[in-house]
Amino acid sequence: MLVEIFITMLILALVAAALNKYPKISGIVTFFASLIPFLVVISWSQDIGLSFPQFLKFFTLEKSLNYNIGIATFMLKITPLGWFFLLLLASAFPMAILFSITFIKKNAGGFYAAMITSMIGSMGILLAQDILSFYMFWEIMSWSILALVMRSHDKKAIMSYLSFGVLSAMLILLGIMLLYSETGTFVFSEMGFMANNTTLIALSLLVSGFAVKGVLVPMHVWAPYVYSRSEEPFVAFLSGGLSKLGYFAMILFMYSVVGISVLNSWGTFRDVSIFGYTLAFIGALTAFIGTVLAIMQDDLRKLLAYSSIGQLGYIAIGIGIGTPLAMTGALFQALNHTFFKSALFLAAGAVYYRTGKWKISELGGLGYKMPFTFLAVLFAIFALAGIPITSGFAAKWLLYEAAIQKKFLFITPIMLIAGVGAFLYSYKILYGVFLGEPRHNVKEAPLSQLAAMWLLVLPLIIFLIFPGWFVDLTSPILKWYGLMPISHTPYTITTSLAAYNTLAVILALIGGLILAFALYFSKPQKVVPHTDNYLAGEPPELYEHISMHAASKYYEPFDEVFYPFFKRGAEMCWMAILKFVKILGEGARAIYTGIVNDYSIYILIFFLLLVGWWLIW
Amino acid sequence: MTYELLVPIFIVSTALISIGLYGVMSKKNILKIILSLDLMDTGVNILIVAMGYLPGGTAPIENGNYKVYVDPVPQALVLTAIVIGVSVTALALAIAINYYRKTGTIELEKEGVMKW
Amino acid sequence: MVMFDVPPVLLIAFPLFFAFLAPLIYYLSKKSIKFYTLGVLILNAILSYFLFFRVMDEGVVYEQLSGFYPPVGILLAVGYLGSILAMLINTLATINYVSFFDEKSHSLRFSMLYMLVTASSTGIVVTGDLFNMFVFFEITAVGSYGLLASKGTKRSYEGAIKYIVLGSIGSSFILLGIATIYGYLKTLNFYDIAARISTMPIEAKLMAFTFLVIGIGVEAEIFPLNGWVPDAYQGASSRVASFMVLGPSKAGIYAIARLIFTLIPFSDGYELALILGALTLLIGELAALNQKDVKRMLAYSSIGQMGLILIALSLHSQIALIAAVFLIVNHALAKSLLFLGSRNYASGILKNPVIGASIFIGALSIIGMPPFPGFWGKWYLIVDMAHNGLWFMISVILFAAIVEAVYYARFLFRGTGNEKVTLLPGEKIAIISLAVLLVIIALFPFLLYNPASNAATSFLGGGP
Repeated sequence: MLVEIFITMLILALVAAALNKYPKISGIVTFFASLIPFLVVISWSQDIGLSFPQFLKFFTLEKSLNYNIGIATFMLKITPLGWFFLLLLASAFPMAILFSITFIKKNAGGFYAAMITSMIGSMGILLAQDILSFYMFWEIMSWSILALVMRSHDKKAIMSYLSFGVLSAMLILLGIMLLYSETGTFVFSEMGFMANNTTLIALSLLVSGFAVKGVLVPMHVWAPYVYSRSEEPFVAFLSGGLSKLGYFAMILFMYSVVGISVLNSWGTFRDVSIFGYTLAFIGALTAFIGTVLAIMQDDLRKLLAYSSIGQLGYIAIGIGIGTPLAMTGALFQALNHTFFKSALFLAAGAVYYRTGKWKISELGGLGYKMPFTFLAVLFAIFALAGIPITSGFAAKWLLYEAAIQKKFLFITPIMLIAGVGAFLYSYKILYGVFLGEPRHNVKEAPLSQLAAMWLLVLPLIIFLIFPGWFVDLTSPILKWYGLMPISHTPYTITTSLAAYNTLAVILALIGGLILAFALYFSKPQKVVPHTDNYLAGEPPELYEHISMHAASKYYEPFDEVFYPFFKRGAEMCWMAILKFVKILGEGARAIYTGIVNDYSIYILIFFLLLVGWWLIW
Repeated sequence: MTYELLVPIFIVSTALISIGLYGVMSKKNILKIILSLDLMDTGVNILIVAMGYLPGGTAPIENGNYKVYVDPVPQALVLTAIVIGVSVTALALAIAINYYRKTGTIELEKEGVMKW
Repeated sequence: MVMFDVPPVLLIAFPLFFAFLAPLIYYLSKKSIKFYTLGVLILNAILSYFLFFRVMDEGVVYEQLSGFYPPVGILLAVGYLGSILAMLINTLATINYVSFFDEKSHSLRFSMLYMLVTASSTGIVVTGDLFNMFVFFEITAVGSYGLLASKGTKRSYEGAIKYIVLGSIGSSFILLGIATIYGYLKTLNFYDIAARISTMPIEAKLMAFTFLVIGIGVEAEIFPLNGWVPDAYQGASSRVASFMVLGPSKAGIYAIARLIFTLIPFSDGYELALILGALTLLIGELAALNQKDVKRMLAYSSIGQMGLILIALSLHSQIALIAAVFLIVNHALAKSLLFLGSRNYASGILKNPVIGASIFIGALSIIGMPPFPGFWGKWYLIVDMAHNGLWFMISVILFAAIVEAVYYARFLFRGTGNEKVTLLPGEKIAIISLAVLLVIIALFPFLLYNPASNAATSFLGGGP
């Protein structure tokens, strides 16, 4: 059955490509194809130990599959970890497609075919049980993304994605070959590890390879270009869905393949392995750098790209610390990020679809024209900023607590600062794009786009009220790793430091809202044109050269302080490496002088060298 | 086998090959390069013919009048090699003529047009 | 599968005979010459399939020519690798010929040379005699000179002249090597030489090896003997360059394999091949990195691929040899596809989706991305190296792959040459068929794996 599902999706990809001339039909076909993974993942829920009702079992699927292609066997199997990440991807994927039905107009066939292929690759990665199939599906995923990035026609985006994609592929290949030479087998479950230096190097190589997809500093350089210049539905899936694969692979290799005991044997720091601590530290750094850079952006997409980098850093922190609390927090953050970041990128796409603008300083007041988009963005931003009514808060709270429990005095403050930074740029989006004086006379976004956004925001609201349900989802994973799931009821999560009760929080929130509305409506409101605020009554003609947009120079002092430090630091390092390789290239080219006499001299020199070698030998 | 007899031939062929190589390495003129290649070829051919040489040997033709005959295989090889050499030279000259027609010179440019 | 037992000599004699018959056909009808040539090539390709299946059934096929028994007479010995390559060369030559179909003035000479080179390239891979191999090498070279110059521009002549000079030096070296071997062993038969090579004095053996490596290395594009490659490929038309990649250069690498496995196998030879392969790979890929001219870039990339194949050969183990077969097939298919597509690079994927996707597939396969054959080649190669702990070499290969990816990204994104010609229908057909072949091997890799595995076993046993 599993093979048939892969083949069906492949055929639907070809059908979608063949329908290139009819973008909408192609999109609808792809939408149906995109529902398949979701149905598959729901059907598997009982197999991994979740008590989902029987009627949700759409397919009778085998739990594992060994597929022989004649020269190698692909071993696929559903594991709790793979299931969880497949759930994330399979939920984000149909929404991205639903959005693109109205959004993608040019060459839609290629777009949809590549999207389905990337999903096929992702499914394979999440199910893979041996190195070969893992690597093959990883590359299929990676290269179908390239096909999508190429649609941006942006040289910088394509070159940076491709260079980093191949760099990551090669790091991964080197890493898995080291593992293979160490253990002599390709199958994950048969690998038994010694805690030696080879394994350490292999694991470091693997994690740095996965960090490219997971967008961790300093492998994040490609992301701002790709995120900000490709089509929005694709970016939503890339940032929301595919970037999680990097973290999936990190958990897989660190905790399943190599194992926590081997990690700990390389040294520990407050009961956390040094390896994990380093990862957590890099994650914290990523969160900080991403957030600071996001605050400085004026381009909506760039802002979202950097914010995505920042938010993904939190997942790495949780994976690095590796306690049950931290793991739950990391998985929760991964889930949140999937939904809110997809929703935000889609909303940005909807804004662009209607206004044709990306710059925050050229937008404004859209909340009056596109109220449903605005509300979706509002909820997504609550989750992003970790404001204490949404699931975003629960995730970050778990992570903070995990770090505090271990008394990580360096990581915890950075996390907190980055958390506050998230408020800053979230507010910039809200205020700059949706509030303020209306500047565009536009309609609400089309139905398919709205539906996509709202279906993504809905889970955030559900998990806001019932964070315990989420812990239920992750408990098979924790049990699988032999960790104790954290104690919870649907409304409360209890940890050693404190208990988080959403019921109380929500009651407080509703009370606060009632109070706020009462205050708001108790006095009559007066609308003032914003020029009045800015100019204090002076004639506007004098100040035409000044941008009076609310979001222009919004955090100017902040920018002034931080800009010198963050001016493309990592990128400059990579450019230096590239430059060095290019100089090597110039050297190699200089050999081929184009003069035939030189070429024959080379032959003579080679002859003499060989004879010399034989003589010495 | 009397290798002493072959020593002068070795010297001659080595000299021819060296001269040819020197010509290829130093000359810009296409004709001179082709001539140098021919010299190399000749040097190699002489060497191969000498391989099968026996003092006083004749060709191995079956008329019953010989006692010692030289090895026929190197001769066959050299014949083939000569034919090939001639055809390569002819083709090279033809291309050189065409090159001359296109560029008006028979010298390969000091810095090749196509390089790096 | 075998419908009739194809004698291997037919594969060579058939196109040679019809090549010399071509003037007659041309005299009768000038237009029919291209159909005639295509027909001959298709028939020869079909013959090569029959031969392939015969070899798969019977093992190595021998045939003695001209009535003498070996070692005096000439022996043809078609092994597994030989039959794979014969099939590859003939099929791809046929496909490639389709790309010339729209040429307005279809010249007789061109068709003749094309058939000649196809026949002699096939000859190199089926022969069991050293001198015979030399003769085929020379025919291939002479034909290639003509083909390379056939574009008729200043650059094509210049490239052809450079190839002639280096090729002639190379052929002199091959002759010297043959003379050395014959002088000591009095035989030219591969089996005979292989059986008695140990009786040769070590100095003579080394000298013979040196001469032959240099001579064959010129054809096989091994650094530092490959000076002609970028110039000749850049000067020639893209279709001729494509043909050069799939035919003569593959025959050259086969001859290298015969040399280091059958003729003169010794450990320093493998070591030398490993070093040369790594140098060729690195220098080829690095030189391509900053290259602005598309054809020259592809030529450098071709050099790099040859280095990779040489590395795979030099490891002389079962898995590495399978990798070598995959890499050879991959390079022949994908690089000739890219050369054909190099005139269309500017329009990219969007303007012409089918061609664009084909070129994309070709580039992916060359870089070695799954599931295309290039991936299997690199995968098996690296697996074998990991077995032997050659981590430095693995790093070199992976570094080269990154460099390769960077310049192919530029190739895919925007071509940087100066020719702005759209593709002819024939070229499109050829490109798509090559891409289809790549996809077929990608989907059913065992089609190539099983023969490759046989070839590896046979080669390791000292066979053809």
